[in-house]
Amino acid sequence: MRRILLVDDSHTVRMYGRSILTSLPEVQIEEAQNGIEALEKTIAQKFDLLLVDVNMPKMDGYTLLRELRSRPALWSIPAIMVTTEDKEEDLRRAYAAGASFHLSKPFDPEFLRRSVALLLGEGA
Amino acid sequence: MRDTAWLREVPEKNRRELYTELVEGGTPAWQLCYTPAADAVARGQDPLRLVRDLPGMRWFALDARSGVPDSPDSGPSVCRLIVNVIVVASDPTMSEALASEGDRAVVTHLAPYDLCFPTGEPQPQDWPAEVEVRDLLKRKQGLALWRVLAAKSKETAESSWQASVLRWMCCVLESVRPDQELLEALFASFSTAYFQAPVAAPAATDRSTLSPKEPSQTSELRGHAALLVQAQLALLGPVGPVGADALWPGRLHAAATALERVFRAVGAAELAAKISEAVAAALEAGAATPLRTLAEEALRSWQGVPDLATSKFAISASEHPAAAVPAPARNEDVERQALRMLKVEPGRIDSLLGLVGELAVAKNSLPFLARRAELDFGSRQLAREIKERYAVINRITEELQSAVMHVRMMPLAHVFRRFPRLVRDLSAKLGKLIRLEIVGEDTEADKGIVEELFDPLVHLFRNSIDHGVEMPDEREAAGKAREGLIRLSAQHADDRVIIEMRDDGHGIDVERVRQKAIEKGLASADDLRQRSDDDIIQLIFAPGFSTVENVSELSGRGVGMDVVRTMVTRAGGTITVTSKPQEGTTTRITLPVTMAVSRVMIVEAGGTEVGLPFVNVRETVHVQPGDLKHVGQGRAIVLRGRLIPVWPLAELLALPQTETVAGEGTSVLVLRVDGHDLGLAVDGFQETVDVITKPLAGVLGHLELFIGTAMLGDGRVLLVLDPKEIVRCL
Amino acid sequence: MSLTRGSDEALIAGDGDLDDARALDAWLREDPSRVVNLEGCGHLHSAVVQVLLVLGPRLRGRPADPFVNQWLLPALRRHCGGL
Repeated sequence: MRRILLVDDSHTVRMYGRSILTSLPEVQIEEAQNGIEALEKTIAQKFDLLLVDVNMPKMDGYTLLRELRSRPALWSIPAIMVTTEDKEEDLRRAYAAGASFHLSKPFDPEFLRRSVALLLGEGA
Repeated sequence: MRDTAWLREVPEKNRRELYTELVEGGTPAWQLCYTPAADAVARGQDPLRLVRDLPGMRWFALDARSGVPDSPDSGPSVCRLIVNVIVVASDPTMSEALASEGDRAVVTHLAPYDLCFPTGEPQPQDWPAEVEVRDLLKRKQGLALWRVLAAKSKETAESSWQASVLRWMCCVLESVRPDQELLEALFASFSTAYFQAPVAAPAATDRSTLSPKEPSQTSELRGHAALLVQAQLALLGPVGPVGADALWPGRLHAAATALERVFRAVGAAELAAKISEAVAAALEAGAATPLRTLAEEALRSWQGVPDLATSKFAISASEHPAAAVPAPARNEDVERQALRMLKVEPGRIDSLLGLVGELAVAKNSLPFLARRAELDFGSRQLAREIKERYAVINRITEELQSAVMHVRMMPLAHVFRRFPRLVRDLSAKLGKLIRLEIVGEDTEADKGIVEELFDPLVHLFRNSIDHGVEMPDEREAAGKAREGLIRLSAQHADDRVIIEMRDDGHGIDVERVRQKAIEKGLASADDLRQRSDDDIIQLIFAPGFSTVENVSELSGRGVGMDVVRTMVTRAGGTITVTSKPQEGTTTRITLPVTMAVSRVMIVEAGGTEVGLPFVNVRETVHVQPGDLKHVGQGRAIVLRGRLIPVWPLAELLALPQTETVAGEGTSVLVLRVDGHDLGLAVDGFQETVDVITKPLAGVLGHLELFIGTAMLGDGRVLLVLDPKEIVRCL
Repeated sequence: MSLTRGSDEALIAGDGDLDDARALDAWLREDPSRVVNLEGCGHLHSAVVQVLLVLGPRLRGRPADPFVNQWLLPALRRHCGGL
């Protein structure tokens, strides 16, 4: 059973992401509304992948990633950053903060699913 | 190579059952095509024995090769059998005996997707519930969707394309893990009669069929994996030593995990095995190089030397901000950027639009009030003030409506971008060379309109590609370029959107249209002789008309233009076709830019109120008893020298007719529909209102007599009649 | 296989071989309206099946062999247009 954490302050986006990813075999999907909640959850339980939005209240995506990458218990977890734009400097920032991959909104469902599958180790 | 034509011979029921079985998981399916040697029987063998006892048989078909001289003596001794079998088994080997037949016994893997395709003749179909189904499909309401589909399936001719689509959709919905993309592809094919299977087969069960020796990798999967590997290179940062970067070990480990998983996913087990070593070496050296090298090795082996410089993941050492760890997040910059565009949920716009619509309708009650103030309460002053306020509210509401409508605008590119692929596929299938030019895809229209456009345009494309544009040789012989051109353009004009599709094919064969029209009894030869060529071309819109005699490879039959016109009219538009022989055909569709509020006149008949589109109302008259004449079986009135037939509306609606009081006249509503005048005898006229008409859905969806329902200012629901249907009933 | 030929109907029993196929072939060509009765028959030899496939005579009877009954006979019928 692989556990995925969707981190986004928009309920709609989380629902949408969930609907795309539930079709993957053996996955359990959980949600967090901001970076702090996400950090708490990942410290408490093991996740296999995170999907992280950039803009969130309390703690944004970049900060969350940096927190993850600075903790030995968490630093291996692949995290896909969800951006709204594809500008070079935003991407640089994302990877410098520790993103494993980036995707822009609106999601291409198939692309998202494949990216997640590959990062879980599956040749979907 | 799989012979997919053969798969079409397998009855749909068998394919559906097999699909369900395969999706449920576990054992894969294989297709065996066995052609025994011609001398097998003569040498004393019995080829069928090799096949008869195969376990897991799901289909068996026989055929015979031709071309061998058929004489009584030699005939049976020359084996001409071709055996096609579908088997469900964990192993494609099936049996040693078959394996030793080598090339004669070809086994190929059969995936669930290969089985799923609709068959049958497309029927002219109107499905008002289609909008509802699309919505249910988007929201993945499986059970509700299934119910609607099952119900529709019962009403649809069993052998039709549409019924096949519905049965397949139900089958997919019933399976263990309903495949959303397959459902959407099937649904799209319902009205277009063109089925395009989704690109990737998703089920994990499918992977179990792949033998570990030969991982069947699509190059797409590799390409995707390559993107991920490049991302890890970006994550790993600059090539040289990383200096005082607090996040570096974390990023190293993250990249290592991602790489290991991706390598495993594509079957690159040897690379995956080298990762932990590379990580250890990197930590010791204080540089990511060992891991980078491994990643670059993978990229090279998959797709040649990667041109990382052009990849958006390329971040050179000097530019990488690894040395300067950014200060804790400041959201302001990001927020400022985000505010330029607002992303809104479509549902919120719809409810906003609904509220505005209700407001538009609610304001209509104010004139009522004004009248009551004057008549019931005797206050003319108050009535006047109410009317003045109403005028203000009316103006504001109209502006509000217009503003909200415009929020729903979206560029036509949304629907246009699906066509290049469609054109490529269809023209390839027919062996034609066709270039597609798209102009004006940034032109915007209401979301609802844009979504309605896909189906009619697909029909038009198929007609152009199938019957319009000629084969390359034919074109060359006619002095044209071998490659045909189809031009799709969109532009604004006033409050309309004009979409044009033009091809440079051989145009519509007017003579053939004329003959077909006569054949189908649509017009007499005399009648047609008097009409111009352009007029005759308009006959292609007649229901049931189809100029295609030959079964085309695309669909079996050209899908009628009457269907296209229905779709366009339903969206509130018009469609015209012009054609020049040898030069090509142009189809022009005009559509409203926004969804409009329409004016409806309310009348009383048979004890109820009913609405009619104001645009069709010519006038209202009150006729004295003597003026309502008997003409043949019916009644008529004379209006300014013209005889206009009159029908009791109550009778048309099968409502009880109210008794006419002797001496009292009759109220007649004179309508004009498609150039014809027609009178409806009603019990009384009421006001004319602005309403938003919603088409009937669900249980009442099949009632063609009504355009839809509208909500009135006082909350009542009004049924609005479709005058065209009234004419058709008479 | 024993091929019992009546004037207008033949009964097949047993597997058969190439000679039987030839005999059946000749018999059917004499009079294409002849009917082949598969009642109670077992496995059918490929050569015999080919004759039935190519000449498409009317078939009747219920074979005893499950494979012939479930798969072979329907395949023959489909190929010969439901005869």
